[in-house]
Amino acid sequence: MGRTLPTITQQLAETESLLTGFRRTLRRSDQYVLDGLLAAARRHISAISQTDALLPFESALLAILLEQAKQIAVLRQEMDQYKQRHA
Amino acid sequence: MHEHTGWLLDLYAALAGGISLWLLADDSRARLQLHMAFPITFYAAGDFSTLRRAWRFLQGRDVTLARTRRRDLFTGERDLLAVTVPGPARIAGVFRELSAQFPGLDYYDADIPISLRFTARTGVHLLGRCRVREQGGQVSEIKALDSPWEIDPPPLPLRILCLSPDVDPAHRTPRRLQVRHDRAAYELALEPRRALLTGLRALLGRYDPDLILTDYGDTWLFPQLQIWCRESGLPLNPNRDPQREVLTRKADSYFAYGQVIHRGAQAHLFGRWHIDRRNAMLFSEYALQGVLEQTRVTGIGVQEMARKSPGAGITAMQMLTALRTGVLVPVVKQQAEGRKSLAELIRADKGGLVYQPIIGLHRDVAEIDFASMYPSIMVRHNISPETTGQADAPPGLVPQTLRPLLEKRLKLKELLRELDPRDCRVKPLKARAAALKWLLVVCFGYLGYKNARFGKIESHEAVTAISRELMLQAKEVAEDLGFEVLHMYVDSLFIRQEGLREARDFAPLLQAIRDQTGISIALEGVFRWVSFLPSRRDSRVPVPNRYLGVFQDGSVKYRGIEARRHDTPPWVSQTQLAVLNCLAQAGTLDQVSEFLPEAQALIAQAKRDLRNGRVPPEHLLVTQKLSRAVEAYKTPSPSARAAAQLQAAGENVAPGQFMRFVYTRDRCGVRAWDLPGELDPRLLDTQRYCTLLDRSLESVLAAFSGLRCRTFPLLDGFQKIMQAG
Amino acid sequence: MDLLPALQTGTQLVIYAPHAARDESAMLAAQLALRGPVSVLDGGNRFQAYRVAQLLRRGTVDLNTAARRLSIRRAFTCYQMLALLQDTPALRQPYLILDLLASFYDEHVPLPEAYRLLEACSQQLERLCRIAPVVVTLAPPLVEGRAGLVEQVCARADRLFTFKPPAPPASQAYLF
Repeated sequence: MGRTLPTITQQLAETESLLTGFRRTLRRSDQYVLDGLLAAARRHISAISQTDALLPFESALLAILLEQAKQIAVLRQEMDQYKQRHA
Repeated sequence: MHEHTGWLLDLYAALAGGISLWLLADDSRARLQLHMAFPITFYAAGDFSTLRRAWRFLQGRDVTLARTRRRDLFTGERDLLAVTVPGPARIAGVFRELSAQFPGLDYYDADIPISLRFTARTGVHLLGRCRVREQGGQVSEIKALDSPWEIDPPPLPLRILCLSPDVDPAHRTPRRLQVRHDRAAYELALEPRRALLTGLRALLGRYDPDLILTDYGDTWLFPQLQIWCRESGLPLNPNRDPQREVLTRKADSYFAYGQVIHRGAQAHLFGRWHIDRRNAMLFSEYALQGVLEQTRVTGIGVQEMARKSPGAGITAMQMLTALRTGVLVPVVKQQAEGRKSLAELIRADKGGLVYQPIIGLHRDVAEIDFASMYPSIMVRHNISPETTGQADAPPGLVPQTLRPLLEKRLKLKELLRELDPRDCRVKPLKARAAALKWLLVVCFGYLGYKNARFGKIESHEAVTAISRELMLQAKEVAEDLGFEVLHMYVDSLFIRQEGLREARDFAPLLQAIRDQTGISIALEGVFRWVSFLPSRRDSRVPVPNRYLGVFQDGSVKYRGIEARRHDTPPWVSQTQLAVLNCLAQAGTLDQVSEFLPEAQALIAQAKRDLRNGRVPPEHLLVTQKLSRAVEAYKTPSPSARAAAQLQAAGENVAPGQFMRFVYTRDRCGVRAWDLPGELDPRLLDTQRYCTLLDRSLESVLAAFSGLRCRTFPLLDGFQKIMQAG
Repeated sequence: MDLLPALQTGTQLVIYAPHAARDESAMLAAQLALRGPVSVLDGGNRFQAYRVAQLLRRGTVDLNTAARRLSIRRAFTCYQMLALLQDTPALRQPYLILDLLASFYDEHVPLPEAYRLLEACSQQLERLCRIAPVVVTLAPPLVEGRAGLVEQVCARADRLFTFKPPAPPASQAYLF
C-alpha cells in the first residue's frame, strides 16, 4: 500500500546478484574483500536514497569510496602515531 | 413519561423498524431496552436524466425523495437525489436495488454503520453517559452527558461472565465448561446436554451478564450450543433481546491486496456482548479496557471492534467527522493518483528515514522517540487528501479526526507518568493508552491505503517526506550540540555523548529538537549498553532495528531477534530472553563476563530439560502462516506439510490460517498440533530444537564477541565458553 | 522480444504473460521514451522505475530529458483504474497500461461489478486507441473464477501476444 518501488536495500541485493559470476571466479580471499565493498555501501543506504538518483548504483559507488577514504584516514593516523612512538 | 440517566450499551437496527437501544440505567441498575424511530437518508449523484429515471424507479417504494445539494470532499458541492428510508433495516435493500439498476451513479452515505449515524445525529456515543426521555419504551429525547474525550470517565458497572472449555477444542474434546463471574467460579459438565442447557439458561437468567467473555466462543461454544439445542429440543437464547437470534458469520478465506486473508467464524449477540479472547484482534495487547476505549472513540460497537483491526476504527472515525461536518461519505473510493515523471516517482516513493546503525557495542546511549510522529505531522501540517498542494487550507478531514485522539493519548500518558506504578488505575489506563496508540499507528496507512474512503496516495507521500525532513533536522540539532548519532529508525534516534548519561543531561537536546521540528519528542531511556547486531550473513553489514540492550534501570530491550518473531517456539524465545536478562544483571559492561557462567548454566539446563522430556510440547510449537492452498505448493513448506496432515485427518484447512506444529524425527519432519490423538514425545526432533536455540543465542552472544567494539576490549573468551557448552 | 514495430494508432495490442510481461514492458517503455512522450498507467505495481532508467541510459547520455518524457500513474483498486482512464486525455502519444486486471482479481469486488467496471474501462481504451497506439499487459488470474475477465480483454485486442511459462529470458540488466 503506497510503496511500490524497490527499496535501495533491494536494489543493492539485485546488484549483488548481477555480480554472482564475477564474484564466483575470484579467489576466496578476494571474495571477502568484495563483500566488504558492498557492505560499505550498505552503511549509507539512507544517503543513497536521499539522492533520488535515477541510477542509484552511482551513489552507492560514492558511498564505497567514502568508506575507503575513512579507512585511509584511520591508517594514516595510526602510521603517524607509530612514527612518533619510534622517532 | 419517564426520564433515565445511564450508559448507552448497545444499539442496532430493530426488525420492526427504527433502532433498539440498551441503556444501563443509574437508578435501578436495570438494563433497559428502548426503541427509537430513525429514518436514514442516502444520496445519489450523476447526470440529470439518469437521476430522473432513478427517481421514477423509486416512487411507490415507501421512501421519501428530494433534491438537495451537499459537499463532496474533493469535487465540492453537488446536486443530489436524497433518498430517505423509514429505518435502518430497509436501507440495505433499497440501496442494493437502486445501485443494481443504476450502477453508473455515484452513491453517498449508503453504507455507514448505524452506531455512527446515531452518534452523529444525537451526539451520544456508545458507552457514553446520556439522559433519555421515554414513554412506553419509545424514546422521545436523548441527550449526551459526556464526550468520548473524557480522560478518566467513571467505569461502567459491567457484569462479565467468563466461559471456557477445559481443553482446547481443536485439539481434544472438552468435557467441562468453566464458568466464572464476580460471584462464583465453578464447572459445568458438558454432558448430559439437557442439564448443561438448562444450567446455562438459568445462569444467564440469574446473572444477566452484559458481556460474555469466552475462549473459543466464536469457533466452538456458540456453534456447538446451536447444534446441542437442536438435537435436544431445548431452546437457549444467549441474547438479551429475546426476539433476536445469535448473528453468526462463517469463516472464510479470500484473496485481497496481494495476499490470502483468513477470517474466523464469529458469533454476535444482541443486547449484550460476546467477545472470544482467542479471536479478538490484539486482545492480549490491551484487553477489555482497550476495546471499550476504542468503542468509545470510534463509534463502532464493542463486538465489532474486538474482532476488527484498528484500521476499521480509524475509518469509522473519519466517517464520523465527515458526517458531523456535512461532508458526503462515498461508497467507493475513486481518487486516482496524479501524474508523476520518473524522477518524481522515485523521489516520492519512500518510507521513513532509516539510518544504518554503527555495528557493535556502545555505552551510555540514549534512545529518543518522536511521539506519534506521523499523526502529529498530519495534524500540524494539515495533511489531508483534500488539502494536498494547498498552502492555507482550513483544517482537513484527517487532521480534524486525529487531533482529539492525539490530545487524549498525550493526556493519558501524562496522567500515567504522575501515578505511582503500583496504583490500581495504572493497568486500565495503560490499556486505554495502548488502544489509542494502535488507532494512531494505523491512521497513516489508511491515508494511502487503497480502500480508505478518503485516502489519497499523495498525502501518504507528503507525510513520509516531512518525517524524513524532520528526522534529518533532529540529527543536525543533535550533532550541533555535540552528540554522535548512532542509529535512526523512522521516528527514533539513538545518540550518545561522552560524559552524558543521566536523563536530565538530555533535556536541552529534547527541547532544541522540539523547538526546531514542532513535534513532541521524549527520552525512552538511557542504555547502560546497547549492541547493534549485524546481518547474519556478513557481520560487516549493518541491519536497522536489530539490537539488544540494557537500560539503566536494569530492564532489557531487544528488536529484530528471535524472541520477537511470531514463529519462534516459546522454549527458544524464553531461553534467549533468560540469557539476556542474566547478562543484563551486570551493572556495567565490564562486569558482563562475571555472569557468563550463569548464562552458560541456563543454556545447558534448558537443553537438558528438552532431552529429558521436561519441556511441555506447547512450548515447542512453531506457528507459521499457510500462504496458499496445500495443493499449490511445489515443495511443501513445514506449514504446508502440517496442513496436509490435518487435511488427511478430515480437518478443514484454509489458506491464510496459521498452522501450529512441532518438529519430529520422522520422514515428514513435522506433526500438526491440532491432529487428534496424543503426541509421542519421543518423536520430537530435539536436535533440531537445540540447533534453533544455538542460532538464537548467536544473536545474543554476537553482541559481545567477535565484533569491533569501539570503546572496550573484545570478550573473546565468551564465544569459546559457549562452544564448550 | 521487440514490441515496438507492432505499435500503431488505431491498434490495441494486448500482451498476456506471466508477471504481465514486466521486463518486456520496461523495455518498451524505455524505447518509447527515447523517442517521445509516453503515458504509463500501472494497475498492478509492474512498472520497474529503476530498470527503465538503466535502459534509458543505454540509449542516451541525456538521461534526464528522456526520463521526463515518461508520465506514470498508479491504480490500486479497479475503481481507481477506471477513474484513471476516464481522467486521461486522448493525446498523440502511446499509452501503456500495465497489468490492467490485477485489482480486478480482488475477491472483495463482486464479479458482476468487476465485469461492469471492465466494460467501462474498455470503452475508455477504445477512446484512447483512436488517436494513439495502446498497449495493455495482463497477468494470469490468481484465482480461478476470474478467468472470464482475461477473455473479455483479449477479445477486444487487435493483436494478441501470449507467452506461456517459462517466459522468454528477460532483457539484460546492467549495473549502470
